[in-house]
Amino acid sequence: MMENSLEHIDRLITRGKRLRDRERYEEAIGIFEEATSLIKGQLQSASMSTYKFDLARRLADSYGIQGGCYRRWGLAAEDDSTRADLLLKSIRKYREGESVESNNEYGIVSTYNLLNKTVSQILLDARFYDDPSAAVKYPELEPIDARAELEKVRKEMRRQLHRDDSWFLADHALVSLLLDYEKEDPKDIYKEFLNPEKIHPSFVYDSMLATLRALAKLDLPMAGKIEDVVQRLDERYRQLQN
Amino acid sequence: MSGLDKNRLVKITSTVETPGGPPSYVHGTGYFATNDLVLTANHVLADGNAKQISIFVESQPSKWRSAELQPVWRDTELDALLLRVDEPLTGVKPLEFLEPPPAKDAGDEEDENEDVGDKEWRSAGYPIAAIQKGEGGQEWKSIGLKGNLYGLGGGGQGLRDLDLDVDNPPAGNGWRGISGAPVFVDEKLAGIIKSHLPAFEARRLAAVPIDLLVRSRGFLTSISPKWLLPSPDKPWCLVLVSEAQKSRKGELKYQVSAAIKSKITQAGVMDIIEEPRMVDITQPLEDRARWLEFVQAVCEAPFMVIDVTDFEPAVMLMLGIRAVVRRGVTITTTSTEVNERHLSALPFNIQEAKLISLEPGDHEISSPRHPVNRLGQAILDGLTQLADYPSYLDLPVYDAVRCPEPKAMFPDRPEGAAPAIHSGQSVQDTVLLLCPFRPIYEENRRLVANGILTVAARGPVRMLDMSSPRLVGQALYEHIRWSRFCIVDWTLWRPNVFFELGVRLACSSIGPVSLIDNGLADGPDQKPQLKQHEQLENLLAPISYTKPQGLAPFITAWSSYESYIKREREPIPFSRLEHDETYRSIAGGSYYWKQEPITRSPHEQLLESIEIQLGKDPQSAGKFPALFSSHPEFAMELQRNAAERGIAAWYYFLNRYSEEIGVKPGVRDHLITLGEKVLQWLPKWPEYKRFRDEIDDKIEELYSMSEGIK
Repeated sequence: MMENSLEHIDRLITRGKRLRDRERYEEAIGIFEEATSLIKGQLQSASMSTYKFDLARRLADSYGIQGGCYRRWGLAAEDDSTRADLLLKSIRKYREGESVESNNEYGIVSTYNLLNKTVSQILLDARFYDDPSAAVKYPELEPIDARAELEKVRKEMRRQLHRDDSWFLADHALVSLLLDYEKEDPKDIYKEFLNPEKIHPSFVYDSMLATLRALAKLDLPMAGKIEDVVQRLDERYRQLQN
Repeated sequence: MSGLDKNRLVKITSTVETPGGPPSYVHGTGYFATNDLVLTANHVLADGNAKQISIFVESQPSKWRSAELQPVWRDTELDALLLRVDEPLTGVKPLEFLEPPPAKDAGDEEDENEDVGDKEWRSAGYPIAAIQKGEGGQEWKSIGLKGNLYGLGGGGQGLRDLDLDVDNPPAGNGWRGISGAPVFVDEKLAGIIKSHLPAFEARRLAAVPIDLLVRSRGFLTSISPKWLLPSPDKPWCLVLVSEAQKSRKGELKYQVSAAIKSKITQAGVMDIIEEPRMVDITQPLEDRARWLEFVQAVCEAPFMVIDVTDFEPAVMLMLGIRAVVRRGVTITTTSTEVNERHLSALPFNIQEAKLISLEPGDHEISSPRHPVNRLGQAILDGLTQLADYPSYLDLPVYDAVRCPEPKAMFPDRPEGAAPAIHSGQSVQDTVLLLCPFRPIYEENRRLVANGILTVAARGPVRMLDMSSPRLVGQALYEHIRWSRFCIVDWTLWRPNVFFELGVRLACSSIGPVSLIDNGLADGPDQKPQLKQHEQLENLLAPISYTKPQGLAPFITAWSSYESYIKREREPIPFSRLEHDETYRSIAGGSYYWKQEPITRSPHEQLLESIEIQLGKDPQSAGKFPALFSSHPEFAMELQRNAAERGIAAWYYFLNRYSEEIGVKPGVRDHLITLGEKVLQWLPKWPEYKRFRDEIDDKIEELYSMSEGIK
């Protein structure tokens, strides 16, 4: 069986994911970068076709995975400076992914990188949530208005309400939780995700719990609600495992 | 004339090493079948242990040559082989072969004065009896032979021989060395000598009849002038051009090549050969050797573009063969416009296929609607989807003809038991009629149905006549594969009929019985006479019938069928394909079997079964693509089952190749990649922790092992 370029790229990404799961972030990122560079090379010469779309989708995913990898690494860091440095890298990767995601030429329907860029910004400095001037501390970042970004995500998500995949349901609930407009009860915000008739893959729980736990530790207005959600998700996840 | 030519006669000596002793020698005679291939008996090569093969060419200045140790073709049962000689002869004319006498027609009466087929034969060779003492020791001399070939002899049990008596036979072991000598009758090669019969005081010889050799695909294609080059190692494209579009062959070649370049090679999708191999449909129909060579190419080509413009019969036939032998990629193109009106008029069998119009229109090269871009996109989609979806299909037939043999509807009844009341027929017993569906043909249909019913006591049925609620296409192809008696009526040269004929030729060991009424015309729709019509008639010899005619054609049809199922090889002209020759050529070597899922390793198939249901990258999609996977219990079972299959795949490979992992880097890399894939499918649930850890640790160990070796 001949291995085509996409299969080779997918193999690299799978390899990187294992290293990431073993918390060997630096090696994982090296592999993801190799995959990204291959995809970019292919994309340059690809003409408009499903192949180009496949490549672009992989490129956005690859940036997203790198953004997530830096974030996990940063959250695990023992000192603040390393944590900040790695979270800044995470933001940069998500930003690159966002630029692919939002490129009309590719027609990708996703807010994955946009949302996670904003989450990484909040994790970098909770003040970003409602104080754009906090960016002064980080000269390489442009002024950030996380709430405005979250609004943008929410608006974008309204156009994707037909989606029923677990990532979308989790992200949609997270945006509502962070915007905290309606002063809703967390169980209502996560109602759809926690619908007992819906079973989500375990890796979705792993990923969202890691993010929510980190957010719950920040000085955010809805921190208590986040804690509540973490407990509910944890409980549900445990039930599923048994 | 190419009769017995002493310049082509050779003495063969193969040197065989014997353990602990001096080498021994096996002697034989051979004959140049082409300028560089020598035909001889298989046993001259001493069971394949020859260390050297020397060829003595009596008529040439440099008499001794050597031959490749590996024969070009060999058949141990027939006792014949072809050796390639390092230095070819020049001025060698094609051999003429002695055709077997034609079979009698079913109604022919016995004639007591009939010629029984005795003939005078001639040969020359190097038997040991002809050795003379010379200055340098023993000298092998050639001697001429002649005698009588008995038309009534050589039959009986086992393979048929030529029964030869010989004038002036040698005494004792004097015949040794004669094996492989050519037997000529008049100017034609009739066979090669393989043995003598001691009980006849060495007066009788047995020879392999040439018709058995000419019927062997390997022999025929080896001695025929080379036409198609062997398949390259890299993926390549075969293009079949219709007869009417022959003049556009160059343009189509450019379009296919440009399509491959722009969408695949320049985009870096795959390393494939950009220049396609072009064949126009009349080429493979020129003779049997070309047909068989082309069928092999149709089996081997990773992707094929078939120009079905005007749905010419031979093109449709080849499309039918391709549909049986390859799951994909096959792109059907037409030089005409394809719109809604055309789509509804497509032949039934390819209505589901995506027909690509290469009609130029006025599209710019940058437009996706430009023919090159349309074609390139189709090839690209086909190649990537074939790799992604194990059940990919671009033509009907492939899966349908692979269904297991249907159970006979009526089991054999015990002896003495009353016959069952039959309410229908099993698929195998159905007499299947593949024919046109046009009002003008109706009278012929009745004639054929009645004729066959009279001679076979069973009426033929068409798909229309079957009451099964199964999908029409599926039932049709299942019947084409399993019905023992399949009649194909070529009358009106309909595309559907020829597609189905191709399917039958490729997938059944019992060939179809073809009929044709050349007197029936299709009115204003009648297509012009094409060269391929005559070529197909020469190759496949349909039985001709006309409406006022009696039962004779149907009796011939029935006796042909009976000879097929009794495996009687009726003597037919060498130019004609045997009823099952296409099937035998595919099943006997041309078939690209690696595409069959059953040939994949268990671990690959386990992973593939997960990916079919759950996608290749579950994490990216965030959901399982399986239908109804939102069902809670089903979703849980999907995750659990994917994990279990992944674990099975891992431990199968790990234990199966445990001894090779340490020494073969390729096996190690494969295991690493497998483990990384499997880990994706293992949820982080407590019950899978042990497996996650074991796989993870093993991968680390394998990486360390590879690093250590570096």
